[in-house]
Amino acid sequence: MSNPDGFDRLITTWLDELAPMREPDGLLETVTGQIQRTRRLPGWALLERWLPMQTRAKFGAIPRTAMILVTLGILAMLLTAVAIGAQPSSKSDLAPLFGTAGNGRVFSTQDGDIYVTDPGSSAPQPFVTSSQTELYPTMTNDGSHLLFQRDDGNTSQIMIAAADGSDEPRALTPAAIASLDDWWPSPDGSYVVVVGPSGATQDLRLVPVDGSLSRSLPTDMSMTGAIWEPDGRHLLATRDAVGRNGAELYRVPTDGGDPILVRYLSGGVKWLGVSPDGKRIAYATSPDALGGNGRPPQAWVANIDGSDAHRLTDSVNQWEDGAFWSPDGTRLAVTTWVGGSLRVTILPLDGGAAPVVSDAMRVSGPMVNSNDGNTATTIYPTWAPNGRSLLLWRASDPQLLSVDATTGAVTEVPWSSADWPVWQRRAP
Amino acid sequence: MHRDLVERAMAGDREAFTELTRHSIGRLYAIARLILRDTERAEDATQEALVAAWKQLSALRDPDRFDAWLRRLLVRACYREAARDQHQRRIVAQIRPIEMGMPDPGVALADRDQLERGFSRLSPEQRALVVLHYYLELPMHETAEILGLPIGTVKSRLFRTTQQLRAALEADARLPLAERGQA
Repeated sequence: MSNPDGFDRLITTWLDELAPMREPDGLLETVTGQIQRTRRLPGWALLERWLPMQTRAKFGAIPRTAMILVTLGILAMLLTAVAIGAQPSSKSDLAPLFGTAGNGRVFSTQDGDIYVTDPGSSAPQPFVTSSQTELYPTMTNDGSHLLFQRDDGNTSQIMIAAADGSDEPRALTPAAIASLDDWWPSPDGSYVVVVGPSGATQDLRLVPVDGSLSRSLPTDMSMTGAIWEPDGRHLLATRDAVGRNGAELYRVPTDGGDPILVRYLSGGVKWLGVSPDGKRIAYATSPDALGGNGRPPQAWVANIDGSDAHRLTDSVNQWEDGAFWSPDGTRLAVTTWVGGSLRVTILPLDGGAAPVVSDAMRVSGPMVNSNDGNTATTIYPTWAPNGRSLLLWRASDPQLLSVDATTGAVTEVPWSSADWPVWQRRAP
Repeated sequence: MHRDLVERAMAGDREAFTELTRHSIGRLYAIARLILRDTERAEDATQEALVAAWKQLSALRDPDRFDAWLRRLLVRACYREAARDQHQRRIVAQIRPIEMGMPDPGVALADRDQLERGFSRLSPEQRALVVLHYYLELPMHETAEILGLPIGTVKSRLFRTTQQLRAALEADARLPLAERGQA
């Protein structure tokens, strides 16, 4: 679920350019002069002598009396909690946010851990915590399991846990992988497609969630990303076009058949989604060049085989981030940027009703994907399961907005976490 | 050679420490200026870190960890500099772009300007993270060690910080387009 594009190299190169080649004249003399005049502190006077440089605390054995006191304290707290829990609750109804969403629990990440917010409460509670970094909480379609990525700084694993917290998270990938570029659970939740480097090429691998052996799809085409078609029998996978500034989109049979070229997409793929009936795709092309010198991203729709491709708007200069299928497949929500504000246009695909336009939020800083947080500069709306509203998340100055899909009205929804919400998203 | 100098300095040899200072001051100053975005404060932080290192050198247990320890002192000094309100107000009144080196060795002009804007919007803590990881190209565990943070926290913060930089790049890229569209 990352999008490697040389950005890391760009930052490193730029910092190298920006950094001064040497210190200012006179600084060395000033410092050495001061050192000559400075008395050293004795070692025993310095706290840090007794503190390890390592940041992870190491605890020794706890004394028996302390253990007894801690146990008694915990028992007292548990009894208090039981007594409080016996009181009638004044929060039995769903909070407005989750009423809007449909139902289900809501997951989010914070400081490398995963938190869950129950519909009946407002404060996120720890769901998965570890010394490693948990990223990209992703629900299976039936809402029964949560998948996430666990990084230890050098390797990554895909983990799965019951959404109700009834079991310990377990690793899906048999061994830690040096890099995960993309992964998504299958529509029925039985597999995860994993895209990542394997030797000199990219591997497209199907990993069963039941722990049985995974298998690579024999594409040998260095795919850079893949999503599932709704029937689970094909993947839509992309790869960089050889010798051209763009991407190629393929349908890859999950039974091991040959990939079929769908389309060449000039500039690359910024967003890709399949209609719920699996007959069409909606996508946004990447800008031809950063810096405002090229064509901005454009939203398109086409048949699943690539035929009948046409743009969804006739704008020339607007920046179109994506087109997002409603749960029933009758509408597409197109996100565009107009004068620094995000506009959501909900297009009925039968041509009957007029589009609903909502100028959702002013852009004042970075944005992240409200689905998985992956695309830093984009607000990807999340449709409510009942199709009545969309959710938008702004990362800078965190804000969660709900857009009424019928009227375009925008309301702010309460959300106390600093990260985007991921719904369990059961059907209403 | 380096370890020998550190051991001599730990034993109280000022000349050895002066030699270490001579070796490291340029890189330390570069780090401080990237974090603080200001030449004067970077000088102050570099000086503070080196003098503190001399004063506290007997606290260092492993001579091989001297560089990491020194960088940790520098980052702390940068945080202190950044927190000095009076100084900050003066800097705000005198904001000036940091002069570039030779033109365009690797980064396109437009991207450089956008990175500059995005980088300047980061907090000193975020810039320290970026500088340690991308400029010094330190591995995650060493970055965590210098910043005094758990590695998981460093990873998630770095993830979010690079998101912000990416966002600055694209947001700045699309604004002129959007505004042209309105004209």
